[in-house]
Amino acid sequence: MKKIIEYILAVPLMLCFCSCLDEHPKDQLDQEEIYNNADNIYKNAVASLYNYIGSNQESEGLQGTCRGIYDYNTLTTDEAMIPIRGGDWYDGGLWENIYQHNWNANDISLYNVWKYLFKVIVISNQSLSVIDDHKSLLSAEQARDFTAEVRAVRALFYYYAMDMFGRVPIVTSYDVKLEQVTQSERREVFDFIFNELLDVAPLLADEHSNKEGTTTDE
Amino acid sequence: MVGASNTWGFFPSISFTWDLKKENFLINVKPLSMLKLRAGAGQAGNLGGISAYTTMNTVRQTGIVPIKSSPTVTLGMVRNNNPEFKVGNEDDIQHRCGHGALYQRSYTYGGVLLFQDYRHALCLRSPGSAICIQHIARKHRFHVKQRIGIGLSGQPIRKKDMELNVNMNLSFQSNRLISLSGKYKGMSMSAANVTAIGALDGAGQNGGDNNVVYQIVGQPLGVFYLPHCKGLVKNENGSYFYDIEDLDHNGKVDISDGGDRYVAGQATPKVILGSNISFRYKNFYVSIQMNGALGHKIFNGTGLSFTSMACFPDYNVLKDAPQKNIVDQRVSDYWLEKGDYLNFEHLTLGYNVPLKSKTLRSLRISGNVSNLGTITGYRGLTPMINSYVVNSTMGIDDKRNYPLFRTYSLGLSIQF
Repeated sequence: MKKIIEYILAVPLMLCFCSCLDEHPKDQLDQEEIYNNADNIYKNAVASLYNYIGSNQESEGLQGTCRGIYDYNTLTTDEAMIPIRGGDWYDGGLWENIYQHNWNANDISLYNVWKYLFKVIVISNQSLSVIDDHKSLLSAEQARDFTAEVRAVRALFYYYAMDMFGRVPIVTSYDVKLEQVTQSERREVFDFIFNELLDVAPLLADEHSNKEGTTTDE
Repeated sequence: MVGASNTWGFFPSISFTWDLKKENFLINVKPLSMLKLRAGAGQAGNLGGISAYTTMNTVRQTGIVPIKSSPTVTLGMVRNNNPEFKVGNEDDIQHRCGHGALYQRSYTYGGVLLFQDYRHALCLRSPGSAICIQHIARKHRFHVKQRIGIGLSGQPIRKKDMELNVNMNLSFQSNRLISLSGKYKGMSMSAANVTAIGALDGAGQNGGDNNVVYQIVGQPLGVFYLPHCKGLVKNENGSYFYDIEDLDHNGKVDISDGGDRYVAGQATPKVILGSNISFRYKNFYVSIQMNGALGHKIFNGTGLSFTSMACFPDYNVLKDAPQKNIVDQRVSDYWLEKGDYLNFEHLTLGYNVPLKSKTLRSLRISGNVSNLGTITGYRGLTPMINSYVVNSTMGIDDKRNYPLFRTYSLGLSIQF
């Protein structure tokens, strides 16, 4: 009798565990829900890229943030240097090495800059695939214009990546195998950026960027 | 946590026990009350280090941007999902070998001998690459652990007026990191064989060549990978600096991650011990609790920072710093010290007042000292820092520890 009761109790318990396997996070939305109409696609696939222009993280953001693009372009030249004040600002020789061009492949801040730039490039590629996958929700003009704007932002980030690192891989799609990623020559990267911008310029808004807060052709 | 098609897994294991005491050759051995030998081997699934929802295509708020001059909240992905993610069992083998138990004459003397040897794979978040921003890969972060533990507990003295209880645990352990590569969407990905996990921090110590603790393939998890300091060299102005050795003999001293550094010791103890001894004579009793660890090292970052006279007078320095007159903040094994210690956690003295009263059942007076003292060769405030949990503080004493304080307390306990 006892055995039978145990078995009866075990069944709902098993079902209980099975339902745990089905996950529905309450604090996160499913990706498909944010690309359900043209407005949302623009907002979350195109406009969201402007979030990455600036940053509050070290080594991220196109300008200003500490140990990022600005520091590596300014403190490496005669324009500015960061001296040691007492024991402060020695920082393991970081600023001295930047000024004396003594960095190497193990430089963590430099690696973080690389990760930041390629993160935005990967997200831009993802946006392009989102626009492509949701063409049915967009008019032909919308699909064309959204794609143009994303490509313009991606070109901007490729420009900084090329300026910082020179021979960077050109990855233009979200579904690329790691084996297909190869280093490109600086010349090729420059031509890629230049042609991308020439291609998309006529499709961008005829406004001043500061008015719209987006990429335009003015 | 795992992919939708991988929510079930099969992790077989087997173990057996041999009760030696019941064998003919031992059954009549009186002082021995129990002797068992256990052994087992098997596989275990491991979800350590994985956060929830990593396999799903979910999004979060990414920020606020102006659209047509009005601020708009945008949403987007926070990491690449890995829908095929599974807890594999092909490599996550967990063995347990020779797990024996030995007991002699209950309550007079007991001993446990335990030997474990297991390896497991941890899963960790990989950094971004040219094709993805961040993803969870099933990393073959093999980590072999071996542990031999000896525990003794018993009552060597058990008389009416006198009683002695002894409890001791001694555990020897070692581990090794085997590999840091894994798979994502069928592509094999690998992490650098030498990765920094802990660095010094604070004013003038932020970033640069300040890394101290690393995870290195083939080494225990958490090792000190440091430049070697041969001694101190005098500057023309009378101050001193650390004489760093050119370990790779390329004619140039380079203390960056790939430069002149060597594995100088491990952050996790090789031996951990704990003990609890109590003694009673008539109505008086005394008990002491101890713990200790041996075989590991501690980087005395506090000493390094507060010895450099470069900081003075902007920051305070240690008492002997002006005399040493070191003006150098570079990390090296000069500040790597042995972390061995034995700590007396509690000492309690008590007296059970003999009672003949009917209303009071017991009356006990006691005095207790917490943190009585620590025996150690470590020169910092305390060797009891994080020597176990793998994170950025492991093995590094870096201006963050508040000195341990000793507490005296008196107690009176009455039972009605």
